[in-house]
Amino acid sequence: MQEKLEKLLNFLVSKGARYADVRYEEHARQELFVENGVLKSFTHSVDVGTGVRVLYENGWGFAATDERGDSALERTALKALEIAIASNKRANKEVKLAPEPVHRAAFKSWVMKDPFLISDNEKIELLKSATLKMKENPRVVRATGSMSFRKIDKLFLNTEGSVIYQEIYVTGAGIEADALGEAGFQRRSYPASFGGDHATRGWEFIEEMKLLDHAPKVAEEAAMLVDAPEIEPGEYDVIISGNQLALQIHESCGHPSELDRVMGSELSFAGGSFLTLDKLGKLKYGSEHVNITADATIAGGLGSFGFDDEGVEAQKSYIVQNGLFVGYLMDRQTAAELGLRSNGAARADSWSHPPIIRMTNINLLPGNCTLEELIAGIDYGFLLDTNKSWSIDDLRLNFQFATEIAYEIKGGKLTGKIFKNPVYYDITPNFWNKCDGIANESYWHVWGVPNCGKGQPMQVMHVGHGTSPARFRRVKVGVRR
Amino acid sequence: MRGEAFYRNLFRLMNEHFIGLKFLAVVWEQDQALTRFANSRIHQNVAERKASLSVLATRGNKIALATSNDLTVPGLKALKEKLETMLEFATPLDYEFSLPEVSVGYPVENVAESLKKVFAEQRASVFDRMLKIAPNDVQLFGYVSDNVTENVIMSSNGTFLYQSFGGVSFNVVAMCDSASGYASGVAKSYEELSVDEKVERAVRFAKMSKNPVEIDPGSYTVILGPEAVSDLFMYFGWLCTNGYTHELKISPSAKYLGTKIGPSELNVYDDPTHPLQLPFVYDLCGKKREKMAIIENGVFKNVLYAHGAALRFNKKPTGHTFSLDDLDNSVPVNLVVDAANTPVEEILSNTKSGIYVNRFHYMNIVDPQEAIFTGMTRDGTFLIENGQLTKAVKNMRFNVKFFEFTQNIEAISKEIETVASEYFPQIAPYMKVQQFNFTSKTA
Repeated sequence: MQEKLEKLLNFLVSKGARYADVRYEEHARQELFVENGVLKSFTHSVDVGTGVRVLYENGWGFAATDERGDSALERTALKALEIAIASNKRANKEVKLAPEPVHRAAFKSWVMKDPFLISDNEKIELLKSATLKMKENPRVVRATGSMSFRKIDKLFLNTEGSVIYQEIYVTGAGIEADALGEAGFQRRSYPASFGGDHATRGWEFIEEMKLLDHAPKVAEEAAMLVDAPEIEPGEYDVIISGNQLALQIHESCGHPSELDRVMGSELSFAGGSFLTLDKLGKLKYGSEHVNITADATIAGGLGSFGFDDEGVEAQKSYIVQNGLFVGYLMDRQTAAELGLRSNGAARADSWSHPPIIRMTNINLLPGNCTLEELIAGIDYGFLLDTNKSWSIDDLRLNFQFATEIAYEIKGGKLTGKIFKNPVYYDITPNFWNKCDGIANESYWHVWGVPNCGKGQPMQVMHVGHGTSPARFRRVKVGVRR
Repeated sequence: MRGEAFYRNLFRLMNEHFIGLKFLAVVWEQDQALTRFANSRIHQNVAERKASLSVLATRGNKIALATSNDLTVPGLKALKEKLETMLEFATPLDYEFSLPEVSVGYPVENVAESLKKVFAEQRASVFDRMLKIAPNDVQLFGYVSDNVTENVIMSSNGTFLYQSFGGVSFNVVAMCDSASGYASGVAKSYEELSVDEKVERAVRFAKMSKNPVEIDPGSYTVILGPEAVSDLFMYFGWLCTNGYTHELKISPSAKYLGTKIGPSELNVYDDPTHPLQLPFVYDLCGKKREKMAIIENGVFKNVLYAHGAALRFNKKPTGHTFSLDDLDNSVPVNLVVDAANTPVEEILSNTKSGIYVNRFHYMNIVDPQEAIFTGMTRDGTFLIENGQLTKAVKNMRFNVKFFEFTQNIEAISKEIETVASEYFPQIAPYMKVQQFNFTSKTA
């Protein structure tokens, strides 16, 4: 294949391409979904194809095909060129690419146990057992469990001479219980909602989740939530758990720090960003406790890889340092506009799409206290856990999150009382400046978000967020309706 | 497009190579291209061509699904082999599963001739037209896209259905300094796409949106544009019309189905026959889709049943199976919020004070039990004073209970528009609604 792709790049250069890259990818995927002990959905898919990206003078073109023959590849390359020429006719700005060393390299995910070599029976039995355990609770009407496994083989070449092969595994699982009672229905999930937790690891990641051990508590909390009260709207001190904080970082730090959003490329769909260029190095994004990195090098993080889809090596860089906003997520084109090297954030979700700026692992670095110490510092407030819904404005300022559960804190201790339908909302920098404590690294975990949507055509990317629980003062909780 | 003949041959090959296996197979083949622009220049310009064959196989009341984009004979053999292995490990379902009954239908081709050969230059020329309309102090952001899709449904019990459809769509955000306006459009071909009027509207709203005033959160009378109405009903469609969750009583429909939820003028259909829709004629089980009332004369009348849910609960499938890996859950894909009789100008002139909302941003479900939705206003929010749009208003967050919102509908316009919503094109009118709950303001 490599020889074929090299020929294709030479062909494009001969036709006048200033730069081109090509990605051949094979995606294998397995998904299992069990409901109330019954295997409801069992799927396997294979998806193979090639994407060609061309820069003709100052116009980009991209074309992709799943046909495998030489003539189909050449047709696709010509189509990418034709598209680039149409873009260039209307170009009114020079396209520069930040320099990147030539890489001839290979990368493989951190996998101890290849999930595709684990028997289907073992996977099915684990989900069956976990869901049946949850179903033992008489209030649980639907107990579900899911697993998904992906293996992505990528071969990347560009006209600068890079040749990169990557083998990336993605493994994930989760369980959910829906409970019903006179007062309505409620859901509880583990280890996170909307499909659970995911990582670029192997079957060992599922084993570490201990789904069976957690199933009874998931069911019990779902059942208890049905009759639980709602929080009286007001301002409270809150601790936000790691899995909810992952989404908080995702929406209010990850997306606004994407430099293509800042420059308007996403304005017609997902929106812009409040982190405009004038704020770089100047905005007090959060309190001094807040340190946020973009780090694609973390072993097993869902947003980890060896090289991005422009052939840029995985890196770690700061977005927020001691509360100050200091950096963006960049690709080669936007980095060049700032006179910087790309920090390797350009990825595509498939061979059929071009790379765009995506989060890697966007992490809130751990603090130095225990969760008990964070709780002890609250006279009256709540520990908010597990995301239920999210919404944020087009500049990523006004956000509102709902969580599955709130645990009451009184006099520095958890009381055991729970509340349903908690909602909290704020304005991004106000919120992060209210952070006055983050739990230490023993609580730190990189949560995988497998469904980050961005771009047109829509691309769904897997990204990660390392978090420990953190405390925020005087946050608005509850919406008066 | 490969055309019906190619797929008839694939069907023959499948019957040859899948002997001994009961199956339902679906092919999607898509040619899609999209030109994206920002700051009034093209920054992304793409085309993709891909096909996939998904085969759902069943044996001993078990099911397994395998998908591949290799449609060659070796590809088919590999799929069959994979399915045999999967069925060995699969466990029986908890209801009696059967493949859909054989479905006979004419091939449907809904692709305009002009769409079969579209070049990047044609898409870019639509962008050129937009630029001509926008004055120099306005920057444009958006996309122009076209796609041709072939969809084939085949089964071991003899079903062969071919449908193809194509469409074009665009959206545009016009920016005047930090003020913005938005419009979108969908049509079956570029010839039918009404671009000029929509771009003019986006530009007009952008100009009007300068120097917005801040208002306090609270309950207001609103007039919602078709984009905003479409979003609210899309979420209603997702959350409240699923027969599967209805039967489990974990859907708001458990409480509201059969009740009068709004004025008699409120009519909502899943309607592939509507002239403004891009029709999805057969669902993935081969069921011919008909116009179906979801809300009729203000009454929440029907929920939808996919093939699996229908078998499980002894209901008639309603033509809403849109995924082979989830045979239970359903969603309306040709949603039409119907027009009523009042011209929008009259609705506006009869409004002494209120807020006009052009569009929502990033809606989501806050409480799935009570269908409480949240979102922000975006790209054109204005004060209404004495029947006129006056000042622009800074964006606001809303939290509304959907079934209170419908009870508070005061007027529905006679004008309707097709909007390029996030997933499927939708048709919606303008609506005047009392007591719309804004809960916080933007920074």
